[in-house]
Amino acid sequence: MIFPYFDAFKSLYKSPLILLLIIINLLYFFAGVAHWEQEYKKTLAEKTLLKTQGAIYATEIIHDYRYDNTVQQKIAIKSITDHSLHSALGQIAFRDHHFLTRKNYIYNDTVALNWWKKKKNRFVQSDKSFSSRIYGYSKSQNKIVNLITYQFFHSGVVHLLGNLLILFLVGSALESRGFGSLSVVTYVISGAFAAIAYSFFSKGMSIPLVGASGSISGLVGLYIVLMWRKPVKYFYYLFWPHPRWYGTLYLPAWSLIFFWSMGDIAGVLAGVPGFAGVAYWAHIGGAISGAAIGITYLGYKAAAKELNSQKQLAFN
Amino acid sequence: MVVKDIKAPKIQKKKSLYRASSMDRAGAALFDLLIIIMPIISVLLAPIKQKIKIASLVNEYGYLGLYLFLSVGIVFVTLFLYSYVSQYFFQKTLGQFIFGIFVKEKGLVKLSKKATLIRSFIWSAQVLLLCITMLPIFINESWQFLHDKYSNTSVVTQSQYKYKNLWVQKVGLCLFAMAVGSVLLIKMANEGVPSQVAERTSQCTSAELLAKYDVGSEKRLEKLYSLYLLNRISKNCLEEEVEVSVYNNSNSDTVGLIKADFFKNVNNDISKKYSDSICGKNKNSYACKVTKLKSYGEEFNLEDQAPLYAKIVLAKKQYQSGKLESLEKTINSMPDIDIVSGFKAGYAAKVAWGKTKDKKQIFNLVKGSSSTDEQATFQMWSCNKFMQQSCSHKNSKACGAFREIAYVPEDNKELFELTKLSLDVCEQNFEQRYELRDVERLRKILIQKRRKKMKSLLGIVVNSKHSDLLKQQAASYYISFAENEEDVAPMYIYWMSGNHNLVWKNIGEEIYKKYYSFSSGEKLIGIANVLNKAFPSELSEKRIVLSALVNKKIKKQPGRNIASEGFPKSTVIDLLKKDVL
Repeated sequence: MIFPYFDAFKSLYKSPLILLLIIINLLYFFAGVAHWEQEYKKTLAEKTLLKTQGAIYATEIIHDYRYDNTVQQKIAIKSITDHSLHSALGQIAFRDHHFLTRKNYIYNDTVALNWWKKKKNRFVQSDKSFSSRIYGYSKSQNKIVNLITYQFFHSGVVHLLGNLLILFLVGSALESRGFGSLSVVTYVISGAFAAIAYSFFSKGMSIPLVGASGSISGLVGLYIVLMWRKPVKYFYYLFWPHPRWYGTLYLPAWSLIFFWSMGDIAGVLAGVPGFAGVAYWAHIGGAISGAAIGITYLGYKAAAKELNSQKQLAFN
Repeated sequence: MVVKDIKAPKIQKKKSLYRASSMDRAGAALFDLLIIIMPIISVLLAPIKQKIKIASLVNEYGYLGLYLFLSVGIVFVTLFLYSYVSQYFFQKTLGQFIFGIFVKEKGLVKLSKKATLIRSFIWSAQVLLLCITMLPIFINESWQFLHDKYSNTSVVTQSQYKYKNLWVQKVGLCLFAMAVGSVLLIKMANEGVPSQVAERTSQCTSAELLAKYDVGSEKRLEKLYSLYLLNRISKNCLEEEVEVSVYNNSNSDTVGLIKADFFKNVNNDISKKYSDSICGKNKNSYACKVTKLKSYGEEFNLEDQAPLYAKIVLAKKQYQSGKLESLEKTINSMPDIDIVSGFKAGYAAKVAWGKTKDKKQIFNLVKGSSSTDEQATFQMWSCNKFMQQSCSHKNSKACGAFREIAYVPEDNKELFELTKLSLDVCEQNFEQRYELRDVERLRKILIQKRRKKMKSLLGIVVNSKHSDLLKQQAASYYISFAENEEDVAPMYIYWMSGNHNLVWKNIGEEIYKKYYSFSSGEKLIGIANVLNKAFPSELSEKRIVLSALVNKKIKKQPGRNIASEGFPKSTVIDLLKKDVL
């Protein structure tokens, strides 16, 4: 296990802007607690619902040419002879916004269809009040406001704490070097780009994107560009309490490209379209946009420096 | 002249080297494996991981062996390259660098190619064998592992890290190996051992064992059913269990649905028995209807469903007598019945459809209904039965619904045609996927550029493997995209070479129309002659035009397009009178 430690834990008072971002994240989290997806979890536990939904979904995607040659359709065709696949398809169907919001369904078992529709409508109704639907960014919820709000909302305590820890580490490292306001701008802009990347590469996914991961990836991208050769402190632990099996080491900032992005690249390559749980594309999109902001900033700074030196020459 | 002082060169003291401690070596190896190589491997293996995920989703494990072989190969090559490159060029891997150790060949300053090759190869193989060969029994007295021994190298350090007792290291390594082994064994036991036990135990015994838990509950049935699906228990064994518990379980709607589905897959007779027993208690219960429908399927007689279906029969009679108004009445008079309302509406609409000319009225009636069930049933039924027919009137509302179902934009004629074709195919044989693939093939072609598109379409037409339906569709598209005589020529040759039977007649006419728009007299006459010979008995307006064209031997008439004229008889006669043709 290796973990970028940046400048270690500094006092939050020295990083007021990052502290502000952390507070906003916490406020959003507590605002959304009342509307967590209890209904969704309850619905997922209903096996009969899943089976029936899977059977209906299978019929739909066999008929719809837009699903041709997709994994979903392969499963659907297989499910004609293997009914045990209906449960899995039922779960996948919850991610398909187009399917859930259709008015009519082609399914010849009317009894099952009617029964399922009632359940589904109840779910869709309750789904609209979920916090992740209100603040998150998805195909159906793609307003500009959602591009911003999704960056501050998290789906669970672990998700929130994990993101805030990294935000604190990388954000305070940047702010202590005088890049506080640039960090905030990068947080927002790269978060927005992350959502756009997610939306572009995960077509038709109804699951809303939430969390600051994309924005934090943007900050890491910015850090890599600004600190390219400067050393970053890493903490490593090799799962054995031997004195030499854990400790810290310094590697150049560009090494973060390897440690930060390998997991996301692997996730993108290994992900089955339509089934991804983690928004790897959002992470990659955020990191690229953060790096782009860093490059633009350095370019602007170099141009300004040159202009100043020319002015100085002219003055002399 | 100033003579500079000549400084005596510094004599570098030869630093003494010590054998690296085994904990440092293990730490370095773990660092390399977990922190450097594992992320690389995870990226390299990601495409294979995706394939395996897909295979597991569709329960197709045909290529699993190949994936496994490829994975092992990729891991081996990555380990080998990492070890070889880092040790040959830098004498140390990144992990070894962090732990301050490096590799040295005996008698040499750096590592030779041969030694690095042997060392890296054996090390990679050992890692793949879960480091079993790194256990203390394989280590010699000089603390050399197999890869050190055969490459004649050793791992050394410049600063000795002393342990008080050497045996502590050996015990430590043993404990570590035992811990790793235990974890692996537990993992294997969790996945593999129960299946072996299940195979050894007689099938019914395992079912009996399982039946002791959750007696009389749905959980037990689910467990038994999953065992049956996994081929762990036989069908007979499951049937025995099912028969014992079938009458004892609760009668809720959800349970009814589970059981109906469950029993049907196991034994349809038991399923029917169960259904009868449920319906014996309450004929109008949801569970009764569900089990009836599920177990009896095609045999299920709607009229058995007593009061509700009696109303449907009544409605049926009303529709047969031609009273369309009663459709609305029936639908509205039974708003409390949710389960069969779809059937009712569908059935009522079906009967009424054949009885009235104003089909829009039926459509609006059902479409305007507040119940989505009725709409769904209506559309489901209509999709399969009459929507194709209704689309001969392309502007009808019914046809609009048809297009809506098929997700086709109204202005896209090509896709609309394709949808029609797909529904034809759908009706012919729903599960014959190869025909639907043909539709997909055509759809892909239609979004290509014109020249490429025509080439692909011609390919379909001349390929004997394709179905006639697909060929005709492709030929029709081909002709519609033709912009000059040269474009039409291949299709003309194909058609003239013998494909002018009744099925292909329309294509012949389309070619004819196209040629006419390009004003090529000779070819027109050729086609007209063939059409006349092939279908002598057909006296259509088209034939009049064709005959007129043959007789007059028209050559060139720029600007005329017979296709746009629609062949009305009066126009043709007028044209003949005016001697235009």
